[in-house]
Amino acid sequence: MEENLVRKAIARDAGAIEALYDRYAPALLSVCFRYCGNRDDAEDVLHDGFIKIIQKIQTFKLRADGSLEAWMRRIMVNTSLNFLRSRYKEKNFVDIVPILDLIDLHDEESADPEEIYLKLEREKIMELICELPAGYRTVFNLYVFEQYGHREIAELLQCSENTSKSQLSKARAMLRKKINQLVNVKTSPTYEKA
Amino acid sequence: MKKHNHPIDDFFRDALEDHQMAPSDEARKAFLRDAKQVPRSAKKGRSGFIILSLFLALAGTGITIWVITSDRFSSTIELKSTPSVPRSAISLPKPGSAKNVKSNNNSPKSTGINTSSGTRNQQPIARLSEQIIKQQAIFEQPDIMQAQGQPQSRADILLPLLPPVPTEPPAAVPAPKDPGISVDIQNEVGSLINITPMKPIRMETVSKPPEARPDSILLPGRKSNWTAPESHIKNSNWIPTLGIYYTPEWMFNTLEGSKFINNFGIEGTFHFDRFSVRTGAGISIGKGTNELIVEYNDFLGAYNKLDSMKFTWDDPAKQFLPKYYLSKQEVYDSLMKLDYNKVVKRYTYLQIPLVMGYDFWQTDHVSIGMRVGPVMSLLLVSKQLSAEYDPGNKRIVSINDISPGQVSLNWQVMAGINTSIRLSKGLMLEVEPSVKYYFNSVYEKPDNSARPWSIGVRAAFVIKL
Repeated sequence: MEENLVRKAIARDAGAIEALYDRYAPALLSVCFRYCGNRDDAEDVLHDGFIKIIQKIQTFKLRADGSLEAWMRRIMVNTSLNFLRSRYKEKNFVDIVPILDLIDLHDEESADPEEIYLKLEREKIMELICELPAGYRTVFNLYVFEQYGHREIAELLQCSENTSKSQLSKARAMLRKKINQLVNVKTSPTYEKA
Repeated sequence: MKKHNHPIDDFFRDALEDHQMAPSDEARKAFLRDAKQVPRSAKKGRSGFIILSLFLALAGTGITIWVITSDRFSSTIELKSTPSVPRSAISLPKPGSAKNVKSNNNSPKSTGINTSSGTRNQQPIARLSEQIIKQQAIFEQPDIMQAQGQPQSRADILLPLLPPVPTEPPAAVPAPKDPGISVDIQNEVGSLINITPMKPIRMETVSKPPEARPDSILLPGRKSNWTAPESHIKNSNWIPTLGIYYTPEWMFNTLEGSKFINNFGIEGTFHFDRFSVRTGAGISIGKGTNELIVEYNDFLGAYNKLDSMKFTWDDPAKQFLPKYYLSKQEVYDSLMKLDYNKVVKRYTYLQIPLVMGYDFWQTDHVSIGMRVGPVMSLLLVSKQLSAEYDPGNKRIVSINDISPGQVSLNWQVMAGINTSIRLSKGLMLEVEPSVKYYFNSVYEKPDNSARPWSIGVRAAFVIKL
């Protein structure tokens, strides 16, 4: 199926390109959204990324089922990083951290993840990531979802490994805090009733 | 490498890994509109390269054939190129002009029929002129001529008017088919009619030196005394040269991205006038990485498993002593992990080129030309530079090649522009930027991607033997 799509897309078959977009765009838009933090930018990046995919699809080598999506996802991640670089080109965006976010990031005892998962909707969880500062968000995305190591992240973002580690740590702390706030807000009426 | 040990990470990964968002209709339409305008870049580039190579090869072949055949061709043309005499072809010499007939190629401007007045042969010439003018009137009405079955060539028309000529077969070159152009005509009174053909068109279109073959239109009874210029004879020998070269080469479109390759060797070239054939033997050294993805289970530890035990009676102690038989058991994690590993190898190839060349611009010190030809690469040695993959105490489940090793035989075609600079009488420096296209994949397992290509600059010191 994938092989057939790729072959037709190489031949610039309009139907295949459309099918490729319809099949993979929703998942890839989610990736872009996680990096960009808002839908408009994410759609721009998705557009640019898909154009790159069409331009480069003849260089793609199908190895196994699912490798096409992984390849496209990688292009989207790179396009997103380029977008973030251009947006924050006056300063390395990894170093941009809101001052308020630097305080009160100590670890708090959080609720059980299973419990949180049940209480939070996915869109809300996505929002939590998007609310992170760009540097935190990027490092967190690369580490957690793309499963890069700190050395690779440091090379990609042109920062030190320690910066990557500290950004990840702060991102986790900030997310934990936000989750706890959300869960507490959501659960407080229950307590009142009780 | 999978990271799975932080609850926050796991929470977000589990929640969002298969998260999807539908793009807006506007975004979809914009993409589909723009996607139609995306050119087939890589494919186009490759076909463009092939077309360029073919063009260079065809141009080289064409020029070769043209130059080889140009002397014979031009002489043939000169002998046969005057079936139609131009309108102003006949001129009568003035009294006292040279008695010998000249085939004056340098007088294309002679116009009309020039009758010299005041000569003792004026009357017969005037008669002849009248006849020619009558024929010219017919000549200008081709329909009439065809209806009457008249010859269409002006020379054919003029020929019957001229008296027969005593002819001897030419010694060196066969007589032209249309003798009307180059015939000595001695009229009734003994004066000469000089029939001057227009300058052959070939002479203008081909860059042939004007002094070449001055008597190419041979007159009957005259022997060719034309000899080739000395330089031409001198250049027509095969001149061998021997040289050493070094070519840094950058290869693109491989699984590893771009690669740098060093080429060096000895080569011999045979020059024939502007042409050359080059061959030799060279060494091509490049690094390649054999990339592996290793699936493994982590080693967690080991314990001693009790296989059996035996009790023996200890009489002094009045008790049974146990004897344990143990075997060491290793424990591995059930979670499969991936490890990415690179093995760097150095590949040494023997290169044998067969390169044809044509120098289109030559001076005493510099010549510029093009070179096209195939190159064969034969793998001599591959040496592993990095350490073998060491799995330690992990349990290997599978090893998959991402980029396999390189092939043992490869064919390329190269095309380049060669600049040869003479440093001294027998020593030359050659600089040759070139492009190469690889006909087969450089890897053992053929991949479906586009074939590699490379650019390089060859520098060579060449001595004339």
